[in-house]
Amino acid sequence: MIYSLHIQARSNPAMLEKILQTSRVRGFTIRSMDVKNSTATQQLKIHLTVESNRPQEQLVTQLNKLPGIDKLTALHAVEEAAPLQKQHSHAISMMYPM
Amino acid sequence: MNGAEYIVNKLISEGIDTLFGYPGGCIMPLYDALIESPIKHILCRHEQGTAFAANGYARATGRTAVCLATSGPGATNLMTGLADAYMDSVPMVAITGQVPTGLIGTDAFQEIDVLGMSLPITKQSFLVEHIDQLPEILDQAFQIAQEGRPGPVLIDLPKDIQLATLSEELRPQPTEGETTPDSPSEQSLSQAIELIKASRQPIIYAGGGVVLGDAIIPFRQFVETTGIPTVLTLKGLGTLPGNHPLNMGMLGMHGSAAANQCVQECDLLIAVGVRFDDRVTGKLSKFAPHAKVIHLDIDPAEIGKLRQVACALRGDIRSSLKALACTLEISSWQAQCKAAHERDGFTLPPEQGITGPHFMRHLSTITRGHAIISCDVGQHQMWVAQHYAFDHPRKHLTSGGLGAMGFGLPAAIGAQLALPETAVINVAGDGSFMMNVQELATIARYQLPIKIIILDNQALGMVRQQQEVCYQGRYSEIDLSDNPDFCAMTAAFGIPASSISDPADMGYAINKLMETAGPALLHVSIATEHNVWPMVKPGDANDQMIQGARQ
Repeated sequence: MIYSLHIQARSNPAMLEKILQTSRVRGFTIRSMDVKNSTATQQLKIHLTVESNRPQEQLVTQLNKLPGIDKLTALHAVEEAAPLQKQHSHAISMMYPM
Repeated sequence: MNGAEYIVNKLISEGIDTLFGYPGGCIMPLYDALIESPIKHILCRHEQGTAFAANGYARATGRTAVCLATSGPGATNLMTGLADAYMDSVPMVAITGQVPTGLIGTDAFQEIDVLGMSLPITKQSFLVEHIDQLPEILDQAFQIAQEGRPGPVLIDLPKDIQLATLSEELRPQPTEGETTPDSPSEQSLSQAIELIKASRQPIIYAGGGVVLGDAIIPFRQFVETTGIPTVLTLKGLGTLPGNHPLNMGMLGMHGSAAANQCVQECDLLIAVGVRFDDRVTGKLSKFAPHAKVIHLDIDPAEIGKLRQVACALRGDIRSSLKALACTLEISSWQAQCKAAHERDGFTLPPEQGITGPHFMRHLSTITRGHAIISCDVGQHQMWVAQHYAFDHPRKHLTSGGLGAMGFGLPAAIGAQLALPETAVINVAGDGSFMMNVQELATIARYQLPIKIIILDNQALGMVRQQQEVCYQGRYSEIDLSDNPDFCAMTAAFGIPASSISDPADMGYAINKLMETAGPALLHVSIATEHNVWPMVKPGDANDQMIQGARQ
């Protein structure tokens, strides 16, 4: 599924990286990202489109608890995605460590 | 007042009386400011040791602990300790020196992007870009480390910021107390009570979140009021005393067969401060297959992350547990669980030389479960979990989520400094002990009365066991038969050491160790072939336990 999120966040060093890193680690591939950095309000306004086989809620709850996220609006899934190419897809099956 | 002096004053105002650190070029202004301060600085012998020592201090007390390191290698060496704190929700603030702001991004000497490195393993990371940001960042760091689900926070602090003068004379204030955590809605509490009352075979599955939520007393009251049999995770051990009649023991990969059976057969799983870790659930789709789940947690991201829930109780565990207490008529289920516990609880293996389980039972009896046990990672860690009867979870310091070998010795240092009157024991394996063995120098320098026990099987035992069970006995790089003479090595640090290999000597040796006034080490030889039983193979369901020799 493809999901769309609007995020308002404080413009701290690495805030953008933290959002990207959280998305990647939690199994969401970035499809598009539009960022505006307002020096007047020291805020980032981000429109993020991500793709994953996992429920959107799993990303929303992780992003929501990051310090510095002021507002997060999760839009409905925008479309059923075409299957990702295998080399890009996240393994959804559980791989057990040692 | 310059930045470094402000930080020292802030630490004092936060009640920090002990710091763990290692100086270096870019943190020198802060070290200069520490000279006149009343804060006790503990010089560990490696930055990983400082991070684990702070980690142990925070785990034993529940209070935020602070560690310091310089830029570059100092900061990279801290990372394992921060990752461990992140995985196990331990409140810590790490302050790292950084090259001056004008040199950031020039590949300067000892410059590393510490902020970037730390992002996935901290609750929050800050880079102080201007001296005027410092007061607010410090306030936020202490607040974030403690509030909600605790965790580590890193502050990367360029050298020029430490030397810069604050534009106005600010007096640091203690961080305001934690805001009252949310409580679940009345509707969801009512739904949970209905589920509990309708259940015939409920189980409580409790973890580290109970003690983190300061909910030990309401938790025990909830268990006793409802009479629901309870299983504990590795980090939940001690949440219910080891000998409590409703304590069915630890569940999961090296849990008891009884605990796993109770969970597999339950119709309602009340999950309290847990995260459905794969070491607990085994094959997730087969975990508690007949159960509806009520999940209590302060972190909304944990609820529904791995297992669908029938009822989510997000918020303060204390108030939720008080609201849920009710009486139930489940005597036949209680009897069934009790019978399973008596039949399939943890048992001792045949005594062939000293075994880990026998040793831990002796240690538990002699210390009456009152000592703080700081474990390393491996087979000995599981034997401690299975056979030491903890009476409180803060007595059990263990690297649960990260599983970091080398944790135990420095964590014991932190715990002993925090609680000087408490017996602190580091139980190590021969592999783990060598990972932070340099901290013997720290123990000797401060004459900390830590007792060290090495269970030496001359191998990386847990890896060896999994190679035996899962890789047809094809052993790869697990041999440690060329270990040093641990007693001679420890004696070189000025710490007395002795060694045993005969089971008849166990009681005497443990008593002698505990009676020693200062630090001391006991080296215990055990057989390489001894394994931890029972066991669920990685990826198997929890009802497919292997019982080893009893199989």
